[in-house]
Amino acid sequence: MNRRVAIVTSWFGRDLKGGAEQLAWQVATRLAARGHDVEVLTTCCRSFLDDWSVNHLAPGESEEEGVLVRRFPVDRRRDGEFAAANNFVLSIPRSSLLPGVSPFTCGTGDTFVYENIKSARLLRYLRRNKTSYHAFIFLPYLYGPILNGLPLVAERAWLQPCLHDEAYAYLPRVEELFRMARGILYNSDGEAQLARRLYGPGIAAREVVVGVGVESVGGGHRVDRVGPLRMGRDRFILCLGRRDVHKNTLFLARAFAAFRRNHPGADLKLALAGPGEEKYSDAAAGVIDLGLVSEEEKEALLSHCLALFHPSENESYSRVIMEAWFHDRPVAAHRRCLATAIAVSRAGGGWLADGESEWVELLARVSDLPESELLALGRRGREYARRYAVWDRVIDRYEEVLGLTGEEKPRITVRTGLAAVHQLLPGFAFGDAISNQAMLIRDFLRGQGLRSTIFTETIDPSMTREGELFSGGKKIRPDHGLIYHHSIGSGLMPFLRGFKGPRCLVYHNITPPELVREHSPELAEQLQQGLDDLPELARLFPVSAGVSRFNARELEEHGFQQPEIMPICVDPAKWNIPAATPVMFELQDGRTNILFVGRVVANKCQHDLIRAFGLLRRFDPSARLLLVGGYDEREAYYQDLVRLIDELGLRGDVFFAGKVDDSYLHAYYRTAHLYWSMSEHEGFGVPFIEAMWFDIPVLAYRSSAVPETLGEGGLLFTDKGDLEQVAALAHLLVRDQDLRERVLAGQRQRRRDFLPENVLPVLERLLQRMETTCRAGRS
Amino acid sequence: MIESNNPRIDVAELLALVQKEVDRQRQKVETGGSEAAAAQEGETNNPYQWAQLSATLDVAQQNVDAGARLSTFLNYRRSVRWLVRGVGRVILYFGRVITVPQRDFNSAILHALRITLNGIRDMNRFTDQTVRRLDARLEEQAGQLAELARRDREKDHLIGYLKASLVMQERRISLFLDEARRCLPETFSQEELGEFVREKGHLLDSLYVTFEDKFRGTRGEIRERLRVYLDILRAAGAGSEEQPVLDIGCGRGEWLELLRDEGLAGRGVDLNDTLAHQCRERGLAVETGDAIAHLRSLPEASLGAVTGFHIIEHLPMETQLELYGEAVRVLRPGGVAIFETPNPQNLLVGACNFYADPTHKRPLYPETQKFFLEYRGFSRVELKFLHPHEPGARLPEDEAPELAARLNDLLSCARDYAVIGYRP
Repeated sequence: MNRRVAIVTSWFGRDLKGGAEQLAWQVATRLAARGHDVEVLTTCCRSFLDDWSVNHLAPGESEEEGVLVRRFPVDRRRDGEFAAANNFVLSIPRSSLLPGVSPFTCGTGDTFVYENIKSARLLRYLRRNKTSYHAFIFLPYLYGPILNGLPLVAERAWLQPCLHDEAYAYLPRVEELFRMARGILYNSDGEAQLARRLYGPGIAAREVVVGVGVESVGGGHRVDRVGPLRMGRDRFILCLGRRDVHKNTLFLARAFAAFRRNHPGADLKLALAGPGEEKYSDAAAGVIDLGLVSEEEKEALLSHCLALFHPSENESYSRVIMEAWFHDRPVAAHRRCLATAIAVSRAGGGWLADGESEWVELLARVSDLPESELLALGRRGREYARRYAVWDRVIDRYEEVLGLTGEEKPRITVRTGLAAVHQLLPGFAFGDAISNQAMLIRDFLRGQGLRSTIFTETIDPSMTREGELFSGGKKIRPDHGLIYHHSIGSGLMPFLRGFKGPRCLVYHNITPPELVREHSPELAEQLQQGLDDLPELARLFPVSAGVSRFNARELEEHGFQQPEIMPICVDPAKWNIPAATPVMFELQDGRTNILFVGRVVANKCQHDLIRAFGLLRRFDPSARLLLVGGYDEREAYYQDLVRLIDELGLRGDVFFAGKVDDSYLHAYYRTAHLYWSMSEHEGFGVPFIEAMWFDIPVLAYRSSAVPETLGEGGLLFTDKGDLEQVAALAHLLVRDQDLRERVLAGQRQRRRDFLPENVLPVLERLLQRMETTCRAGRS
Repeated sequence: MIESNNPRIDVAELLALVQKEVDRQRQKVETGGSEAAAAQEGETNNPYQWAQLSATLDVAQQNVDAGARLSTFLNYRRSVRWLVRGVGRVILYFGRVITVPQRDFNSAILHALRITLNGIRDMNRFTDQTVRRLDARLEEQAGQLAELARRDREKDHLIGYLKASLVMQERRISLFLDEARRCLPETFSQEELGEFVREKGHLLDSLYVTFEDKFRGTRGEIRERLRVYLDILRAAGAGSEEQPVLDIGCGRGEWLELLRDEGLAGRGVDLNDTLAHQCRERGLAVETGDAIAHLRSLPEASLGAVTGFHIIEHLPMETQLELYGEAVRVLRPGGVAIFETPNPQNLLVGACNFYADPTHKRPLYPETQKFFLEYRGFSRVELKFLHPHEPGARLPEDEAPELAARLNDLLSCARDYAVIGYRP
């Protein structure tokens, strides 16, 4: 089997400067060294710094360190227009960049994409030879061959973006690359986090953090003095890297001076090393600027410092942090720098600080810590660095991800003798959790080679392509399997009574009728009928499952035998679509967005939510409540809510978004700061899990299946008596970074339980039970 | 209230946090919650993005000649490229109906935008400068205000002290009177009555102080006017510890203060108890008492100089002569006496201004005073005329020069004079 891998990049060579260029060289040569068939597809342009319209190098094939390099000539381009577009992009202040909102006008975006470095021949080669490669790695994200080449071979393309939080990353075409690529390779956890912030959780399932190798030169032990510093005798904090404003070096020097003022007796020094125009030396405050140091001196400094302080706020990947960890030294990073902060907190190999006073405090703490504790922190960092910054481990991960090891990842399969399994629902509607689950099951079954159709009593006009209206059940033959989703009373009972084939009931819970009787008596009637049907259904269905333990228990109470639990599947891949731009733009205006998703019905208690929200506004006058979910303007409950909003003076701060399509729902989730539920009845609560995927902290009233769905995620409150306290809790969840992180950590763990790979095994078990019980019944 | 479902969260700690948040909120409501308003104000102060604006205009500039040129069509194979270019040229040619006026429109609009942008930029710069200037001035005034407030506080403090001490004095007096009444069952003797009558003379003291403050001029002005006499004193060798200056009727003590600042020794005597008290408060050596009596108490040839500014016009002639006689006695040989008084040669002074002070007796003719001093034994007696009206107050001399000059001599000549004599 052909396992040829191509790395597509704009420039290629051993001596090229720049992180991405070096990365391409290392990955290509190291994969080749392991015997893989590696090619590089690149241009005849020499480097980033040269004229992109000039072919400096000869086109054609050549070999460099076991890698076949194919160079293609670059085309002429409108340099002036590109420069203008590029200047425009660079002029956009970072503060005005909003995820999901293109900062470009249509024209500048196109100019940037099409007048970038370009090679029509390279693109043609990709188009024609797509199938002769096993995988393509495109890197980095912002040049012509990647922007225009990746879409041509998307199903085999791995994007290695080397992403920064910069204006280019907000270009719609860049977002498209992330959405269409087969997989995305990140250099660090921080980069992955940034990409999710920019493009949503839809890309999460395809991401892999491969890491970047860091090579150590060694030889630090031969140096016993760097500048005035005596290695092994002077106690000092090290700050490595370019000294300029953006790297916060001056900021650290200032914090250090403040620390020395507070602790006049301290013998601690701050050593700065790296290139830079300005000198920061301040002998009185103990700041020593060593300027540019040799590699050996750097090693010596790293192994003898107390800790490495890395105050920069703008990093996508920091090599020095890994280097410090390889020397068992702990690291302090800026809390606001995503990439470094995540590395430090994941590794547990140091501390985070923000603001001068926190840095000063941290310096004092580090100055007093015994060496044993510093070493313990450094060792934890080393563990992390060994995983993500040793080339052998990194290349292992490339091999695994690209499928070069020869072992295929096991796919989920279902063993069943049934030729067809159909599903039957009382209603089939767009955006409805039960309908979505039915579609997921159908797609999975079809993927397994079974025939599968969704039959439904009523159907949403927009869904007619997905399901079929139930007409007496002639199409469901007795040797076909049937999964019936029960959630309300319906006219399907006569058919169910007569069906004798393999069958299973999935119970999605019935809202207690008394909760809605006041406002919607008709609905209450249907619900009541659904409840009344349960004992009879228990006799009809030997195999059953509830979507949660809560539901399974209800099934047992009505006489069902050994009901299984099959949670509703919530797959973030669903969100691999662009978020609706108008919403993204409107809702990222600095106000706090509070979200609840669910039909406007009394049991979801939107009235309590509005009341509590009114109290939250006292804590946070910029808060706004978004109620997403279908409503009927003629319904009494809706009208009551509108009256309540007026009474509380919240008109203009509470919005009914109505029933929205996925791209809008995506945008509401992406912009929300808190998901807040007051609902008193949830059979499962899909939006809770969805909110978890969007990293929105969840605050929910403890009722029905809510605690079970949330698991360790979110925050549960048990009392609606003191709404002011609940509002304060909501405010804390929005503002208190620490609390938020703790809640999100729980949610990140919990949401994985609803991924298809964790849900589908239950389906397999159900199908087997359906078959065996049916066979047993016949015999 | 909070259910513990996440081991990472300490519920008790969180509940405490919630309570703290609620309390803080309640407090904020009580204090008026100006925080939110301040936060909102901060947001509006967003600097305009010039770089972005001009970069946007550059993008527009690149496309200003839309429809004038053809793409290179390098993406097409060479054989197709000429055909595509030909078609393109034809489209461009016919499109000129629209593109030519459009291009004119584009460049005009762009030009206008650039002018507007520059205008706004200049205005912004100007506003910035103005704001900075105003800020600086405001800061300066805030400093001055703070200084004033500090002084005001000091004064308040002083007034408080004075009030308290006044109350205490009154109490002392009433105690004293009670005691006196008990000790003196008899009616007041003749001698005691005389003492009371003498006290009665001081009843108008404070009125006169207020009067002086209002009519005489500020302390600074007076000090400047008196500076002319310093050289005379120094020439006469007066002002040393052995040859001090005695100022008769020293008033608010401007002269004594000037002497002190110039390093000359001097003391004063004034009949007005309030003024004398004020002088002593300023650390000046001033006694309350009658000038003649004081001079009499002094030994012969014990002073370097005797001065009296605007004092002799308060005295009847006999007393004047007595004063001059005592003065010459107490002066050392070579010592100097200086007496300043309003000059009646100036018609305005003689006919009107002199009478502004109701305690003035009569205007003094300069030559008479000179004669009195000489008569009492002074030598080298001279008259020094001072303080003419400012030139602006003089009559213009261009129309009737002679008349104007004569009138000016009468109306604008020296308003004061001093008679100066030395002990032989």
